[in-house]
Amino acid sequence: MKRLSFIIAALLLLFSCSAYYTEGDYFFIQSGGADMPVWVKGNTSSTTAIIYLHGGPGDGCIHFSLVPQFFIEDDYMVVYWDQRHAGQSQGNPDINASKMDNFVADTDLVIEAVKLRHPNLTRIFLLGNSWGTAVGAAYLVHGDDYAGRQAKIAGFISTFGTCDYTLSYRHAAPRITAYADVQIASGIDTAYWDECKSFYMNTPSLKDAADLREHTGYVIRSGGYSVDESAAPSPDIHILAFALASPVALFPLLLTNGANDTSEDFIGWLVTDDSLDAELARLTVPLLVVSGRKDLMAGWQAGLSLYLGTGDIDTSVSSYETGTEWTDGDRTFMILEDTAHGSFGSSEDITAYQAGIQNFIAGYE
Amino acid sequence: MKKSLCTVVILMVLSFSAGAEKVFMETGYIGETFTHPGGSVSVGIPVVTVKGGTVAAGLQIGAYIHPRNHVGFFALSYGEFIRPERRSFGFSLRLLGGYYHTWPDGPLYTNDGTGGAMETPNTGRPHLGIGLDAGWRFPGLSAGPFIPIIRIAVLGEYPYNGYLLPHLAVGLGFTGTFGHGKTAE
Repeated sequence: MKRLSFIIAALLLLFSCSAYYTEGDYFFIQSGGADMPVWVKGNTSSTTAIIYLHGGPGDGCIHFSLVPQFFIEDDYMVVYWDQRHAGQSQGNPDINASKMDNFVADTDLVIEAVKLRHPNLTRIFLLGNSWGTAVGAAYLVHGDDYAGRQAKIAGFISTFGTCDYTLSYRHAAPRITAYADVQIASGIDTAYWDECKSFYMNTPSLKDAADLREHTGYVIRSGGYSVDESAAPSPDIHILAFALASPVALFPLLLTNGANDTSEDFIGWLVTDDSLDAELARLTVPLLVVSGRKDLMAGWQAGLSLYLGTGDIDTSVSSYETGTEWTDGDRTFMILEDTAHGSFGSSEDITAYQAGIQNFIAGYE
Repeated sequence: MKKSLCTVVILMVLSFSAGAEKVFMETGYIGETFTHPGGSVSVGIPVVTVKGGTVAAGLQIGAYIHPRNHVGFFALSYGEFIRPERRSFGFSLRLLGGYYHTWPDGPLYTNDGTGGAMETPNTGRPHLGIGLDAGWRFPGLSAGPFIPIIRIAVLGEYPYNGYLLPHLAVGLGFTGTFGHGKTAE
């Protein structure tokens, strides 16, 4: 009995000493009924901060940040923030009442709180991945006070993102249909791919969460989400520490990852609203857009839209069918040829991906 | 806030058990996901003896901390079915319901009204708490009236982003029966 008690006490003591409980700076922001965690990590003495805007919506990033380690942490302060309804975010805001204005206000509060706690900061970059691109772009161009918000930001990096799901869908549908034709011709899972073709034939645009779920399934099966899982860096998560001795609780992750199932109104708004397109021309901060040529979820055409500052890209697309990098003043557009919908710090073209981001940040020092 | 809640619950527990001939008391470590440390105390009284055991009712209060995530406090009433010891252990099952309060574990910032951020008092959020808890007593390892007990529980916190959020918890403690009535076990 005494020995067992000693072992249990020793185990608990060991877990309580986890580095995840002391590393960096950890705090919360409270906004609109949500208590959202913010973890400032990496080179916290740097005067440059990169605020990571995660994808999803609902994916979170605090748990991703346990993967050692996001490549820019060596050089810069990196700020991980779990948005409302996502990851380790607490509270009880109504997801179906959330709109882009809420995410813009939350982003601004993260920036202000980070500045308050780290007064030596001189430059703040936003790095928006996937859905995070829409959050970052909205922060910089949406509403009346966009100029004041842009003044706080040294640069905006978009990776595999879209500001307009209707545009992304419109460009993905014919490519997935063509992929389905090849599968059917090869006799592979013909019933599934027939159903896929029927979906795209009968769904000229996404209408709701059910459409998005079905479309996402076809994107994944046709390789438009991740071309080659094995090419991505292997996450070296210390699984015991992750589950038992980190700020991460597992059940919220499972629930919020399934948020699409209960957030019909929110997703319905997300997949049909293209109003941000009209505001993209307001963007004046240095911009790096990184897209995957094989991405069928966000699509490189969505990256082009952000780069050109307009949703009206149909006449421009053909000029970008070949090539990998374009620059116009403070704007750079990269297309990674072998990458689909890359994710947190990962891409099939990992060297070009990392170099592109590092060079962009260093270029504005 | 935390102190007043504790005081109210302790007074409730004391008044609840004051008139009973026999009282079940239990205290020990409670670990949310085992490693997020805390403690709990429960007090119960037998309500009725049924075939195979005793049905008891009581109150349980407890608190724990999941560092950098949240601090949880709960005050739950429960109904418990207690089976007597057979061979070397006894089993019990609790259904719990009551109050659950959580605080984000860290400084909390909000908009200061002028576009900046300011630290704000962390008053936490109230929730409905429900739970299911299985316990195993080991009388062979008892020390005086105190019998070691291991509990595995699922506590639910509602609402949490619109969901009922489950928390797994493990309890390690001692239970004892006090008073002059016939023992439940």
